Amino acid sequence: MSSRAHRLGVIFLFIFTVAAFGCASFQPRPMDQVPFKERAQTQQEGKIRVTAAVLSEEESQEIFDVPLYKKGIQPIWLEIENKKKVPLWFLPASVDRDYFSPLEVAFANHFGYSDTANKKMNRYFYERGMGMYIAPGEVRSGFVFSHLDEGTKTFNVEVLSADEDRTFTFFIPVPGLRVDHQEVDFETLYPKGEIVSHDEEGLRKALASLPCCVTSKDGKENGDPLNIVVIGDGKDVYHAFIRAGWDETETIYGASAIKTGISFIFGGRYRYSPVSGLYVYGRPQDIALQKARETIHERNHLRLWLTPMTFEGKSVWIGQISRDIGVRFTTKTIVTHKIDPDVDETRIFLVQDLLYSQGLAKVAHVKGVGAAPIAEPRGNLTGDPYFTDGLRAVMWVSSEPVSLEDFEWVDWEDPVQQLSTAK
Amino acid sequence: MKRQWLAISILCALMIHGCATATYNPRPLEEATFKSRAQTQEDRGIQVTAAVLSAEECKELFRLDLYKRGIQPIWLKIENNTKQLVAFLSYSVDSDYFSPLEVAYMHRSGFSKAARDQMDQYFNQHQMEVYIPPGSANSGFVFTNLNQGTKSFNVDVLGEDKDLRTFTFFVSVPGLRVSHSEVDFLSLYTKDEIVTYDEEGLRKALESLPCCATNEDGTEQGGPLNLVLIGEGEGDALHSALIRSGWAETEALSGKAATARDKPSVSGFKYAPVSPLYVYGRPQDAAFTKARKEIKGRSILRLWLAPMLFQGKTVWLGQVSRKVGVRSASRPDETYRIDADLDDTRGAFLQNLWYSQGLAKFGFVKGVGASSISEPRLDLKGDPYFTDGYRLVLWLSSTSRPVSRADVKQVEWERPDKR
Repeated sequence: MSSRAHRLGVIFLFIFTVAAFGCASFQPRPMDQVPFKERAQTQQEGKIRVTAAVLSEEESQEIFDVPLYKKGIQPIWLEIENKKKVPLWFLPASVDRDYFSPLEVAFANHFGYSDTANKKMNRYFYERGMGMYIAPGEVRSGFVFSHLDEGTKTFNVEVLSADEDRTFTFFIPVPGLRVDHQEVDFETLYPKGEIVSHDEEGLRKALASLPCCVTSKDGKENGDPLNIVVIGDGKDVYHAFIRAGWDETETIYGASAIKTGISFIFGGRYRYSPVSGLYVYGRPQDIALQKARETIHERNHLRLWLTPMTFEGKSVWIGQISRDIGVRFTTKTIVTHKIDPDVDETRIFLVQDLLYSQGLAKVAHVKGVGAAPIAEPRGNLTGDPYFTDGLRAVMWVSSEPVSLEDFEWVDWEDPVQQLSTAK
Repeated sequence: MKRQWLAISILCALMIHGCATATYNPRPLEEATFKSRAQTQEDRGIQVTAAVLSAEECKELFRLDLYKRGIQPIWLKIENNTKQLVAFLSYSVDSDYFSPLEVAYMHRSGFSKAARDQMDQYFNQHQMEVYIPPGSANSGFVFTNLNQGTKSFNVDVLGEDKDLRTFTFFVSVPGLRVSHSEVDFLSLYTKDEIVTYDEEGLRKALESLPCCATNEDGTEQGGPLNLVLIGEGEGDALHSALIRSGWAETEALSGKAATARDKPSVSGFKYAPVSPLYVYGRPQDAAFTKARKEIKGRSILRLWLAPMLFQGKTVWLGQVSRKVGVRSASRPDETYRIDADLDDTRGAFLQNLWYSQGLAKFGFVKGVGASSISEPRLDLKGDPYFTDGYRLVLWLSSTSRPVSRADVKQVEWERPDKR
């Protein structure tokens, strides 16, 4: 009897031990067993080499054994080689102005009751932080803990030495999102014979004669106005908008629908939520981008379609931008986003957004939308009213930063004269 | 049965419509008092006047509780006395501003259809327009994200010839009793107590200051005094450099419960009072914080005015630490409440000011004493910390003179360990 009780006691003790320590063990995987470096990008300038990789959600979990993405933290692995004869200083704030410190990340992920595991975790994060000092001839690597961005992550790596400052800019795709524009085959959208190259006057006319608005799938109903034109190759468009803080958009598939549903019900943020299709050239948008707001759940949306035109060798895109200002109930789709009826205000926001992020080389205005005064607004496909001066903003975008001195106004239509029409 | 339903639906309809206010009646702008606090700046023919509305003023003028939704209107008047057209860039004031009709839509509930239309009209007509023709003036509102204490913002005005004028404003918003408003700085020291130093004397004086803040009676050592701040240029250089770098003022410790209740939920933690630590036998003269959105925690900066002058400028002794979480009943084993790696926090502070162009010069002095990760020292709450033992000395620049990153100078005093 007593031996049975003893045995039971041992079993209980065993179970208790497993329960107490089993859950709270900190077991990161050795870094060389996680192949994230295969996706690393390298840049070399002068005698400085920078290699960078962004960890995916799974890779972060494996390497750090805690769900960093769930806390909004994204580790960036860096390796900096200094072939100079003087020391080099790396500034983690160049990667993310508000980066998380290693021990801060550890603290945010501490386990409930295991002091041992937490101490081990502190040490682990601390030792893997990227230091700031790279001695002459040294190669140094480690992690910077940044704020989470899915889709494409863009960041700078700035290094200082006694004789120079250098900035390396990275654009790194993060695995995990199925982004809409990756599913479009831009090469086969238009046969070669269909693409027209325009001079400036021809471009202006061609842009003014494009359809006023997006349509429904069958092309029978007009929706939101096509109030933006973007000129630049894929890389220019992509870099300019990503740098200005625009997020890419997931295509509609099972997982994205679930993520949208969860964020709608629980009010969380799903920055990459799929957007509905609007139609131009008989097809839905080629690219949809969205920009989240700081303090409210609403966001700005823009859609772009590649046109069969080029200007000075660059692609020309037609598009539409709207600012969501809340949700409302409709008979058609049950719930829809209410857009700001002052679509010109939203258009002006975008011009400033690209100007301040140095992605805008030139801007012009062209007719084509048709004016709708505030007293007689037009409606989009979900019945939201909008009013406009009837102009399109034409934006030449650049993948390289453009300073204000190099920025140009192109004197086509004058948006100032249109002001009285709309108001 | 049928009649009962009819009665209920009529009742419901009455309730829904009965509550809705039939008209939107903002107060006439001429009666508003906020303009008496407006500040004016002028640069080459452009004059900008700006005022920030308080929570009460929003309720009076718009008849809406805009602060509750995290919205803070700024009233602007721009006079164009040049010969060219200029554009006002709302993005410069707040890159995530709210559009006028967005603000109206956010506050639509409780208003009838007619009143909502009036509200849309009102907000649309009272927005600040983009273009200001030569020889004319425009005025209106920009709807920004809420800041308590001191609000700082730019107003960029771009000419047709691409001439950009930037006006930087610091406006004190009524409502928050900030920590340093309670201190009578002029009576802290007598004239004889204040010592003027040259560079070498300053270095020695800073090294011999106490290592750490203490508890109230000075019997126990708290976290180290790892910062020294000196204002360059005009009088408020230190204050403006901190505000421009994203540091927020905090509420005075003796803050009344009433102000806490008035505080909007979106910004509560950011401005909460900072617990006292003692140097020179008194709690900090000023406390600033920088809050995180994603995780609990904020960085905390405490400052004490020292009885020292360097080239006519006041010298402040300080402590910066990063509070990474709260030790709660459910997590009694937590090792850290402050980030134990104090030098990382100090380095982040240096970069923060460097990137916001508020830094003119910096250097390091001894005075804290080193402690290592394996043998950390403890602060008053028993939290461990380790440091290389140096104090960071920063000369801050006023925003009227932003310092480009390449022009930041380093004083050749101590060289901290390479890390």
